[in-house]
Amino acid sequence: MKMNLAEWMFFDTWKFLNLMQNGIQICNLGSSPGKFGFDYAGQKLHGANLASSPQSLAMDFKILRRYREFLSENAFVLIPLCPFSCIRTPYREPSHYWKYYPVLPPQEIPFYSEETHREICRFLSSLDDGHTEYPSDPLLAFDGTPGENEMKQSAQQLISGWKREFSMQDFSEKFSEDNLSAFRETAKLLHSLLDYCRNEHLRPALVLMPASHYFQDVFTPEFRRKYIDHFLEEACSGNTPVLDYWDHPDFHSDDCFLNALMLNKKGRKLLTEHVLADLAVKYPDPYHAQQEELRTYYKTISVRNTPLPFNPLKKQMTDFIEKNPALSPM
Amino acid sequence: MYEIIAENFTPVLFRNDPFFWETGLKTAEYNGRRELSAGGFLMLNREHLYREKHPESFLEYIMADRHALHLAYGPFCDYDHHCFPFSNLLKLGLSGILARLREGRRKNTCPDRDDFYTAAEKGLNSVQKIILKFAQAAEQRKNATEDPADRTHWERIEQTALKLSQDPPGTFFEGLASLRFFYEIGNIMDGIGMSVLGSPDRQLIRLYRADLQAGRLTREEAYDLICRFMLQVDCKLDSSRPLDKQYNAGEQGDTLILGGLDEAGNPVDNELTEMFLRAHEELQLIYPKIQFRTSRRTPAELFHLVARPYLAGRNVIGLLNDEVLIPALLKNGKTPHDASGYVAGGCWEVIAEGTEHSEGANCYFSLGRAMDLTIHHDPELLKELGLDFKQPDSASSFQEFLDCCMDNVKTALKKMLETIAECGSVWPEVNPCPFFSACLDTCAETGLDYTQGGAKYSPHSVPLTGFAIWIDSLESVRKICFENREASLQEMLTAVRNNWKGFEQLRKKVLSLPHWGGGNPAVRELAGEILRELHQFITSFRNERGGPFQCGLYSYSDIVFWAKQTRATPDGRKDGDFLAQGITPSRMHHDSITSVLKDAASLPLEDFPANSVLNLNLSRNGLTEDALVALLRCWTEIKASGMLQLNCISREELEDADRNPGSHEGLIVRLYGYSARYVTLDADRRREFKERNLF
Repeated sequence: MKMNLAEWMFFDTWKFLNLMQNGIQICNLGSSPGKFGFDYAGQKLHGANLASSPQSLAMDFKILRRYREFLSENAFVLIPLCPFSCIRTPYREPSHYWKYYPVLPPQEIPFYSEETHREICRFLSSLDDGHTEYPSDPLLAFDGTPGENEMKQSAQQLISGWKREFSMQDFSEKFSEDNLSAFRETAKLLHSLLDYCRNEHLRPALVLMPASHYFQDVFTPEFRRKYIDHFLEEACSGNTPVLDYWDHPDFHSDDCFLNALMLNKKGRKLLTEHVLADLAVKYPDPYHAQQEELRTYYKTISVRNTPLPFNPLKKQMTDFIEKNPALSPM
Repeated sequence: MYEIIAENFTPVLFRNDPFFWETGLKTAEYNGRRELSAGGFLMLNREHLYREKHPESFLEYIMADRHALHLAYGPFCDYDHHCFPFSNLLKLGLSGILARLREGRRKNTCPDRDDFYTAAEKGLNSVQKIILKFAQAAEQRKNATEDPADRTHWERIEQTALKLSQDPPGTFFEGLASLRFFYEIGNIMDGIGMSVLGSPDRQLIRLYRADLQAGRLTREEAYDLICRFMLQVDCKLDSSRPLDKQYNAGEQGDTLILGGLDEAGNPVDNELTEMFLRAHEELQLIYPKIQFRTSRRTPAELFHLVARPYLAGRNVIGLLNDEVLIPALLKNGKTPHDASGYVAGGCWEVIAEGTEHSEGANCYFSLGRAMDLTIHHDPELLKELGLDFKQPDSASSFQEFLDCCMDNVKTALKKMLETIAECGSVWPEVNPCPFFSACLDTCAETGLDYTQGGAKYSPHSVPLTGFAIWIDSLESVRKICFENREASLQEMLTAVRNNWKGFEQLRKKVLSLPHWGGGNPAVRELAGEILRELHQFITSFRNERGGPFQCGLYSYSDIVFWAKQTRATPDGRKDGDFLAQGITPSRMHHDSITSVLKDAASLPLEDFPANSVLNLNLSRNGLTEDALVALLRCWTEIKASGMLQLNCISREELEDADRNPGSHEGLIVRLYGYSARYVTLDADRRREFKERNLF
């Protein structure tokens, strides 16, 4: 079999192999919007972005199970929801799963073949020229903002792609049998994933990802009800926090985006900060109040704020000695 | 002073913390310094007595500190690194301690002890008054609120304070409250540093089980209390600030001892051990420092719980080896009960809890610098230190060279030990601690403060550092100059004195020789002989309290800062190269972990009850939990040191942390008896850490 393997196909593989460390306190799953949606660098929690472009919910679940051992007790698991998450079915092209060969056990990889596995191993070994840093997706480093035309164009391309993928002319039309079946399957899968999180002492949260205003004609309130709200009702019966940035004003500006749907470096940082702040509200820390109260107090008696030698009773002690000459001289 | 403190302080109570302890009379960051708390008044005003006792000796002693030969923290007596006698308080309560004191006074016939009894009683009465003031403050807060939850909170503090003002704790909550309160009050009253927060699994399990049985407490409530108990300690410091901008470079003491054996040799670990470990991990704490006592009977599940944080980049747990330390304590005169109750104060200073203060960290002695002063002819410096060292140049055999080195190190040790004994004898006048003494065993009977030798034991620890330099230097001279005759002694000395400049080939030969940690039987034998000889020598002196000097093998951040003053040595080390911690091998060799552990296990560590510390940095790449547990078990069972300072790290991660510190704030590394965020380390500390051997 001749396989056209290329380095870029494995951009997302390296992070699983290279960056995984124990004690991860927050992670996110997801496809491209997730991959470009979160950046935990510099945040208080030790995070890992487990999204891959593209990645279905089914593969999300497998990746989560595979990397559960690296997550700390009570780690947050962010599940990004994008406009068509509810009807996205697993990919049918075997090459889509090549990137998982070094990552998942064979039984978890759809269309697994030993021959392909060998070929991938050979290819990856050939890349190993001793460099310590594996190449990452260059788009992750992009911190500029595309022009208006580029944004419009990317929105149009995405819309056309979705119409093709889901065989739709108009997103307001009734779900076809296939899409309806996918909707139910995906809801069931999400339900299982959330159950898994709870059983594993993980704290899941669904994140409605922001989209640029170039989709405003498509992502109407009706669209949201049909593709998001109904899906959530079906999948999670309201007991999982939903962090909603669907129409968040902080993401109205183009300068947060890489294209019409995905965030650039700045947007990624902003969204991550929002998510961490909102998680603190949704999952209140029982020790937060104690910590805040003590930290505030300790600042007041910190050496930094206190002249040394520190002795608030020095005067009383000195007076006492002066009145009791037997104790002098000191 | 006690009465002034009790009269004038204002209790500080917290709405969100269930315990009471804060008097406002001590700064946040650290406990053990006289300038940081109200109780340090006496020492601050009387420490001139140390200087006046023998001004010339005082000066030479201080110079030895400045010139990196030995530490002079105190300067002669260690007023820090104590453990409050919690077990006595938990058993007797304040009223029981007071009764014991009065009984001692009644029986004591020496009139010169009256001052001690009077002061100690005033101390205990003052502490009772302090607790009652907390009770009153809580009552006032209770009466000022209508909120039922608030009322319950304040009432619990009020009732607990009333109880503890007289009696020992009767519940798990009261037990935790006792540990917290007496730890703090120990620091405040006498101006000495308490470093240990207790051994809660050992000390409170009876109360916990009684509560569960009586339905007063659930496991979840106990876990919540444990979280809140530990959280307070971690709130004192802002661990995200650069380490060199933090007070005491981020070291705040505050250790918690878990696990270990009882006097019958049975493991004491229990469900509380597990809860403390889990809570520490779940809250991602750095402080309190957990010191986990291992033994061959430690259950596998606990080893796994201990191993997990390391693999998560949280190198926050210190490991104490009961298989080494208990026999060492027994051999050095402790009873089985006292030996099995040991704790490690601050970083590693072994203390028989309730019965002694071991002065574990005030006179680290550098064998590395002693070798430097032997080799490098420096009469000016020796004069400043008041030392008369022999020159090794004329040695015609290895034995003569060895004798010269050993004579010199003994000369320096003798001077240090005699100065401590002489000048430190004024300690009772500088800073008597009657309250603390009254809580220790036997001071009530003897009528003597612990600074006068009134406690059951009065050891003064002498921790040696630069061990690898000493052994490797001797070995290289033996091999190069007297066995292989590849260079004369004079050539070797010249090379070292020139910092190996122009002698690179000779240095290469030296670095390829058998060395400490390399698994060579002759080196092991030499190391063992030297330690036995030093132990015999050091323990032949009596300390300032009339007790023994006891040996240890460890030091502190001196491995970084003393290194700068320590010139080249015959082991191939160059001017300023970092020292190795405790019995850790030199950084210049890359040996297998097996040979390092075997060499370490060959040492007569039972002669080093103060502790013997081994550093190991393991590569996290590919390291599994099972493998790490196996290693910990092996270290324990072959008795490879009294304490293990372990780090599991990856070079790539450290390099990435240097480039992208924001992504690695959770990476915590074990430094010198304490842990800190790697990204807060200054350049020197980072370099020292990265230059440690990685296995």
